[in-house]
Amino acid sequence: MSRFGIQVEQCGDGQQAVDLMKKGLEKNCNCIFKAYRLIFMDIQMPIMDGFEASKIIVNSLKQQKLNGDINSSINEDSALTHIIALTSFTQDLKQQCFNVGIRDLCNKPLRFRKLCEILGRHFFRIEENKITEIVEQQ
Amino acid sequence: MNILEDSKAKAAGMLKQLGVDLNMQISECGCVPRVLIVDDN
Repeated sequence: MSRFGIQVEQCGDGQQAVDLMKKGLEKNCNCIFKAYRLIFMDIQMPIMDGFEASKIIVNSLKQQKLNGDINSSINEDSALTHIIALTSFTQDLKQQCFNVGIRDLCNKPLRFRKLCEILGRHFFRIEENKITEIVEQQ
Repeated sequence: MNILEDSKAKAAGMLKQLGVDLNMQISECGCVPRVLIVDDN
């Protein structure tokens, strides 16, 4: 992803993800970029799984917006951070993922083409019809 | 993340066709858009 000029951070479980997210939200500014733009979240992890971490992160963001700690007037989407589940069992987990605010699911290992599709849709927030058009051409 | 080498060029072309602005806006406070990968593997 760094070849597309995207700043990437990594961690190994849900608790670390929640901590990193909260650390970012503690910044004094109220810009939309203090929250992660996109999170790829593994579901099965030790300490805290992807469902629990996603639920906490989505709720924290909602609270930040309510408090005015994030400038929602320049937000083009209802959620600042889009969370994408990484799992081997996408069909079985779909509803559970959507229930906690996860936007989309990807099979592991994540293919490069799928990664580009996800980045277009959830990081760059490109119009859906444009993405569909390009994907169909491939 | 595992990336298939043989699809790299095609995928890069796809992003280009999407008209992705690779120089995304940096806010006045210096924050940049970031991605977090959470995976224990």
